Amino acid sequence: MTILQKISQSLQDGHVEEVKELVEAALTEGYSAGDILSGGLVAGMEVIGQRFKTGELFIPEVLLRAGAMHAGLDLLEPHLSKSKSDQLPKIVIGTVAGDIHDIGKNIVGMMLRGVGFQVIDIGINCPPEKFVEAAREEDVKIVALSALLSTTMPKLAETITALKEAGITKKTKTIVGGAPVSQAYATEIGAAGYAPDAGAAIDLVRELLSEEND
Amino acid sequence: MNSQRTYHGDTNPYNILSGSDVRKIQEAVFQLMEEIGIKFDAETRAMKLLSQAGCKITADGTVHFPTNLVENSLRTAIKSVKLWDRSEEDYIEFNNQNTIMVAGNTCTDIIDYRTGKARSGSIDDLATTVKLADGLANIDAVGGPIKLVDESNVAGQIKEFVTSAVNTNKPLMYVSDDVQPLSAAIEIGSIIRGGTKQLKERPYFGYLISPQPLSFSKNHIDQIYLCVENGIPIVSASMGVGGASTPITIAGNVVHCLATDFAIIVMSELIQTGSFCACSSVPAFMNPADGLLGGFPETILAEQARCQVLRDMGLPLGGSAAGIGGGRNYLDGHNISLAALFMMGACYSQPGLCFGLGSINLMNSFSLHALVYCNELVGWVRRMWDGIQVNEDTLALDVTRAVEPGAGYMAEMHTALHCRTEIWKPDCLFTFGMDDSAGDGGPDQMIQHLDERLHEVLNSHQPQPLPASVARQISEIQHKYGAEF
Repeated sequence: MTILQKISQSLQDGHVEEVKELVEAALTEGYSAGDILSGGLVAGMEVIGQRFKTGELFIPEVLLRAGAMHAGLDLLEPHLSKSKSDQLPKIVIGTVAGDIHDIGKNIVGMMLRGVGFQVIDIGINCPPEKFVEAAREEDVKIVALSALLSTTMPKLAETITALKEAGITKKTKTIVGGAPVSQAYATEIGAAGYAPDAGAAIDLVRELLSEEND
Repeated sequence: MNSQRTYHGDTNPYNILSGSDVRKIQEAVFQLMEEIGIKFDAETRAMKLLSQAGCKITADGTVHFPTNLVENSLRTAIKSVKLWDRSEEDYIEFNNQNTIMVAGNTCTDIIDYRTGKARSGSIDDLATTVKLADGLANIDAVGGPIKLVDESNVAGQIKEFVTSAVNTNKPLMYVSDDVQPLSAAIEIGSIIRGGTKQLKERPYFGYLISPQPLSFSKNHIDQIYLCVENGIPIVSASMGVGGASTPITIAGNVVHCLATDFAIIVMSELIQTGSFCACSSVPAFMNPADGLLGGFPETILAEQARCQVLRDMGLPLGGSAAGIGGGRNYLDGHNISLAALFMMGACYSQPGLCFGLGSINLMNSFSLHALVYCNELVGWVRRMWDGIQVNEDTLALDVTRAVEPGAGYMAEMHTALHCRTEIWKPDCLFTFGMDDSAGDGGPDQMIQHLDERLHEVLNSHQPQPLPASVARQISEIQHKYGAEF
């Protein structure tokens, strides 16, 4: 087993300290940070993502492993080049204005972060302008909006309108989710996508990003 | 309504916890409130109030409640309140001896009862659902079954209140996300009662406040002030999601929910001694596999524990989410079974109110058929609560002496005298006498029976109209808030 495979396996087993030791060892052996990231950490998280999808792993268990990945990533960060290929895709996520519930947002955010995306969490009760401001940051690929309450669901539409008016949606895609939200509602308000749960959100983000790359 | 009826009869609630476990939970709640504290928006008038009462407040807005303050507040808060119907002819008692059955709770979709398809709810849909709730005998109050998603929040929520008030004489359980619709509801309630003092004396609606567990925003604090100052009974309705916003363990989740409820009681008592708050925060659970709501048996267990702990403290119980199915769009087998299981959970825990009746898809869609079904389930549960009368007459030795062994009891006076009181009469389901000749008795057949009853109520029932002068004054309030129809 190569050291990159060991990193991947250790990550899958959720061993934080071992992942850190192996990442440090790989750097010492002369592996590039980019190779360790893709061949070790991201490869491991891919397997974890699959095991989550099949129901073998539960969300808290995935998050435990995501913690191990980020421990490794922290060690790689100073060595990663600033080239786009080494940069993880950026996603802005937040709960819309009037809604202080963050469970769904947090689960999706943590899962996306866990499988290798850069997640900018702008918090709860976010007015449309806060989403617009965050999405203006360079290279944000996706803006994810969450609403738990039926009373705050209309704010999803208001936020998407504000993002459109600010010209954000030309380069960035919006996705929506939350207990009262449905695919029909997402389509009605012009969202690029809707996901009913965290697992589906990961698939949706990957699908939208691959469309962009095609 | 049933002001004279003791819903729980002589039956005892199911006590799932030992006495020492009840004590442990109570102590953990006090310990959490005092040592760990509860987060409050630091920029609110509540901070001064809490500080003056002896709470320690850290710079980030965490409030540490001294146990003696909490205990005093629980002692001085009133334990029972009467919620009067619109015409003040009858009331329901909100305490820990009754269960108020509430139709709906802000569903974004309605299942069109003619087509079976889900769509956004309209004012007309809301009027129809409220009218149906008004016509169903086992439904005690109406909780805004439909959320008008195409309206702005303030205007939409005021219209929701007015539409409910117009289409039912029953008391309301109101929820909004802001103080403005609540202010409007108080003004409208005062018009219906003939003044603010009268509204305080005879509350027309209860108000659900839903903070995050252990965390109060300015909005929620303002809602508490407004309710207490106007005598509106509060239903504290936070929702702990075990594994996400609260601990995944049942006991830990219950502790968080109770601490959130008790914080509202303390706040209310500091604003005005002798206020009313029903502890209604629901300990729900995250399904660890997908992050959505799950853990339904655990939710029912937690409800039983929560109700037992509160009952032990003599505090008014709030609600259980009952009659709530999990299916996505229709009153299918999944929804039917979940609604029945939740209702049986409530049967054992005997909460102060059951809300969400008629809601499916975890309270996101409203089904009129589901409401008729829940009305039937409530009848069943109330029969269970009526319990068993054991006395000389019901032991029936006299009639047994009179009837030859092996002979029948059908023509006996004893049977005739008891046949209406001893045996519950279902409204439209749960009998072997149902005419299933047209089908195989499966779910579709059941829907057909519900459908017939639904149409019967909608075609024959007329809600008591609002007096014209009251309707005119309400229109003026709507105009003031930009919420005209």
